[in-house]
Amino acid sequence: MTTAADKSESPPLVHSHVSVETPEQIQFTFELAGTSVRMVAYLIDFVIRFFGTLVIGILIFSLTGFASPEFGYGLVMVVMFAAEWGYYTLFEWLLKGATPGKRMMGLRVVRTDGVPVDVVRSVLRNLLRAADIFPMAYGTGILVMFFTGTSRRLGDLAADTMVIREEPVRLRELPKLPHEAIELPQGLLREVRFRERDLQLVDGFFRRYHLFSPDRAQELAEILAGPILERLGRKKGDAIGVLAGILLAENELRTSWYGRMSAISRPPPPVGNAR
Amino acid sequence: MRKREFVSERLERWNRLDRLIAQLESRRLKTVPTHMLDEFVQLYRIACSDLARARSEEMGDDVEGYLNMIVARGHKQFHPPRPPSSRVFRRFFNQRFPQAVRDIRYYVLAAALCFFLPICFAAVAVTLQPSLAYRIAPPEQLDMLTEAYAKGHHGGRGEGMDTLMMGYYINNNIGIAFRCFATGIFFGLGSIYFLLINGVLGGAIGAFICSAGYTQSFLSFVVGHGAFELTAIVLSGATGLRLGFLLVNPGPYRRLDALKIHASPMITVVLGAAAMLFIAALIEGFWSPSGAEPLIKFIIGGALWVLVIAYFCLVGRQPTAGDQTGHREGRRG
Repeated sequence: MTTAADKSESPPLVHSHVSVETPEQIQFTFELAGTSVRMVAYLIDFVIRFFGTLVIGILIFSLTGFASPEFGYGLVMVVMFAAEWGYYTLFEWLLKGATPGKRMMGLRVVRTDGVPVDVVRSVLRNLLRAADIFPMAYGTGILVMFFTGTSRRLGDLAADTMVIREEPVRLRELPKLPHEAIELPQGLLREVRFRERDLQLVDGFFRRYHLFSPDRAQELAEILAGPILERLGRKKGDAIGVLAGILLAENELRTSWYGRMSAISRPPPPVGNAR
Repeated sequence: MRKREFVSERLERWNRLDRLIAQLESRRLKTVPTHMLDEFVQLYRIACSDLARARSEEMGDDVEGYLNMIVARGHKQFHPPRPPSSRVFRRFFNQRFPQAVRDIRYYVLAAALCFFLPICFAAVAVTLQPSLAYRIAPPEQLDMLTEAYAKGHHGGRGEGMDTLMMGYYINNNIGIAFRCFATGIFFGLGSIYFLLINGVLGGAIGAFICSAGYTQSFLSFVVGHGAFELTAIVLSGATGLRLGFLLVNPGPYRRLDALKIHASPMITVVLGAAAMLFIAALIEGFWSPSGAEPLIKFIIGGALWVLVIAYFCLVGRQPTAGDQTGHREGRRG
């Protein structure tokens, strides 16, 4: 029997993030890789396996000579076997949880506790491809990925692994500001400590700005900027400009950090932006 | 502004940690100097607490996201998986594999029944009425095999052909064994299906060849690798049944937790079975078709059966110190 309370606690149908708690009692989050991006990674791996087998096959034949083609065929079948059953585990071991296809798509296999896969788990999740592939084209695997909601196929469930997106953190650029920003007095900036939550609200406002009708945008801006407008003694018509000013002033500070935060982790460089 | 002070005070350290992690990611642990590791550990712990603080003070996506990424990457370096060593490899065959097989002996029995009973039924049926075989196995395959056995194995068949068949057996048989295991996740049904189908096919084809009058040629071919091949198929089927039954009756655990606990011994058996099939493919490719006297083939084949059975009954009986951990947990539940 399900009650309303049960329902409210049930997780959303598709998670895109999972959190992991470390022994240091810190939680951090991973972004789960969805079905489509994993399919692309699979296709890349498939192509690599195909051409890899082809190239090795040609090499074998040119080395053994075509005199005894059966000998060559025998070795090629061993290579085919390795490409089908050994490829994934080999690379997940060598590349610490990534295959070439996964690496290209920025994916990685990790244990559900956030640690890279070990060999046993990698073997298990890749053996179970035989079950996920059933009856064809990973039908079972894809269904299971949908129903578990955490994008894990049978192999992942059995091996207690998950595939995550390992994109470097994206530090967002300043949104496009539609109005001339009004420069705020330095004293005010020092006096009023904008809470991060409010700044994000303003940021979100400008990101969605093009979706609002002009009247609605003005209306919302007045609500957001109300207290500041009063303090500055500005007209309500300046609301949008003041909000833009807040964001710009904040951004000057951030650009200076972002440049350094991005030093190693290569997020897209923040653009000074766009007035 | 707290955020401003916080970030400008810590940013240097975060950057340093970021660079250290990048170095750890690209190097082997043994080549990393100790002082770097010490620094990494220290900075990682600081970053952890910084992340907690950034969260609790709601410092925003940028700082939290950046710290989250550093901590996640650092965590992976902090808890790296153990690399496999040669000791592990030796212990696998000395202890773990036969022990793991004994641990699931009832499943092995069940799988053996699922495999050998259909062989017997199909063999009896086809012996009584040979034409039945054409309804079970593909006719071309039957004719081709009968022809091959009619020729006998006098003088062998040449190295090239031997290698070809070995490659085929590796690709085909180990693939079947892996599928037989993996499809066990459908509550054991897939494993039962593969065992039955392969049993019926094998029994029908064998009996058909025998009833055509090539009994000695056929049996002397099969007996050599049979000990490894048939046992390995049964073992992978047994592991599939274990996997399936674990999902039907996970004992005191949640289903996924039960899988987690039992995964390692199951993999042990499947990989062991794959190794056996590899040996079987070598025998089947190079020894079984050789021109040796049938009597010698029967003696060696029989010896291999005794060897395989003795291996699973006797090897690794006395667990040495330090063996109690690891896969033995799998016995509970």
